[in-house]
Amino acid sequence: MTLLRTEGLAKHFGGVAAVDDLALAVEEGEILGLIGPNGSGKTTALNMLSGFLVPDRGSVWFADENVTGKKPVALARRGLLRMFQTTRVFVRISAFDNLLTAGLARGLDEAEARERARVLLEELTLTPVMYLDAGQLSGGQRKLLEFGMCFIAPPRLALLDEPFAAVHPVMRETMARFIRRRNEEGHTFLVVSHDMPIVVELCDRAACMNAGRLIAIGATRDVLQDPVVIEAYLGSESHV
Amino acid sequence: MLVVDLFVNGLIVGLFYALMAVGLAMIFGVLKIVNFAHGEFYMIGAYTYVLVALKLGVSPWAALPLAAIAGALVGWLVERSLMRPLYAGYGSWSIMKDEYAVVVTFGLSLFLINLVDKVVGPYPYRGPALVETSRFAIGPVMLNGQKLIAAGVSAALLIGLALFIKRSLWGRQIQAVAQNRLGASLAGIDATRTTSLIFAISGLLAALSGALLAPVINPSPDVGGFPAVKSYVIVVLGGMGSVWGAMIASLLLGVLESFFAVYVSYDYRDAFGLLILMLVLIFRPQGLLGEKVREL
Repeated sequence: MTLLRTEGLAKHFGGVAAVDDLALAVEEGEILGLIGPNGSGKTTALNMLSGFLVPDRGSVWFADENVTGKKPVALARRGLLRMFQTTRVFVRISAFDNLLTAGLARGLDEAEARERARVLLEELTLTPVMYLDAGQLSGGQRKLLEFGMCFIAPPRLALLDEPFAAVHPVMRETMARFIRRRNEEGHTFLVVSHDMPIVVELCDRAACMNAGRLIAIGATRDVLQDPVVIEAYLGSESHV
Repeated sequence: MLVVDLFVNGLIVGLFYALMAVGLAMIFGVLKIVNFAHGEFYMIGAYTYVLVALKLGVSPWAALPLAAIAGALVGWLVERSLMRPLYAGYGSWSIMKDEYAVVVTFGLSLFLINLVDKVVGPYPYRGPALVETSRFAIGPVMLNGQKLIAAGVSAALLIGLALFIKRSLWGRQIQAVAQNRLGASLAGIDATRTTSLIFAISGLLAALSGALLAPVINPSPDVGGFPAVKSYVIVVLGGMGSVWGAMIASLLLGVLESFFAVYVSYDYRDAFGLLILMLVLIFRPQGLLGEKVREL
């Protein structure tokens, strides 16, 4: 079943077509990697999918509902959550309270939210720092914490923007393990990443954007070997 | 035992200051704007209390919550109608339009003052006291019933607010929005509704402050100006946007002013707050609690 799809999605900034006629589909239960060179429109696409930007044209469908232009909080409540490249945790409350706040906001009762927070902190190796203010955690720990906030009431689809950027390899492995485990439980992911080894390891399928357009989609290894994708990353021979 | 008397009466004045300043600090903490119409929330509370009690013959005890409700309603309406452009459209979430807030809230302040001036009249009203008692002494401290009740209500409200922010779901959401508006919306928190709530609370506290003091201040249309200035001083003193800082700064200012009025100059007691503000800004520009512990 297709969980998320876009039809003719477009966004222009002045004369620049950041995203142009994007038709993308994310199937339920998969991990789809979204790759492309810098400036290819991945983050703009993600912003439109998560309600942070209103598209100029086209539509976004989530679980067969047209959610074009809906606000992030409305999408979050439908189970479509997005993580940013830079973390958005609440820095002046503890890691535990961060999880508790997210859990309560998404409708868990307090006992359930506390229990899930403890389990997630354990899984994310954050138990030793659970009572520290989030502002005192390292960048990698904050990323892990944000994963926890995202999954305290598990979303149907998590949009992850460069989750592995500038993260220590050990924490990167913790994150990858977390994503794999959640995926095995049936959760769906759209992962934007420049980290090709992780994309290959993690993603069932990959989609590649260049200059605002989708240029390839399919099995991850096939997409990475697609000459059009290689050209998008490296440039054509005439430019070499 | 003049010292004890001055201390206790200073604390009582500080409680009134806190009731007024905390709402302003909350709005700044969440939206990073200064509400220049905050004094008019106070004025609305004072007028609602006086007019409902005098014109409709309602008991002052019933007029008090009505004034609080009026303040909350006005705060909520102001947010719904005038503040939304500040953060409408998530594309501009990081570009809060500070100048918009200054112009709109300042304009609102002038509008409300003139509205009351034209509709109700420019002359001061004297509100009925909650209790009619003469001054009495508790040990070395001289008090009057109205002041004691007003202080009690203020203290109860401030403690209730502190518990609400620390313990309740809505309080957690307020803290989250104040710390990271974008992150809050990602966590599933409706930042817009939370902001409405903050304006309603801010309006309620300021209006209640005006109502509690109405028998003393004899409200006129521009009655909110002076307490608003005091509140701005307190908010900066406590650390911009810090509710706890505002509470501490209010009590501190109340007590210090009380001593200053007796031992230095009664006439210049209100200027004393500005002197403290200058000293704090020189030696601790981030305010008493400072940036590192600023929180709601």
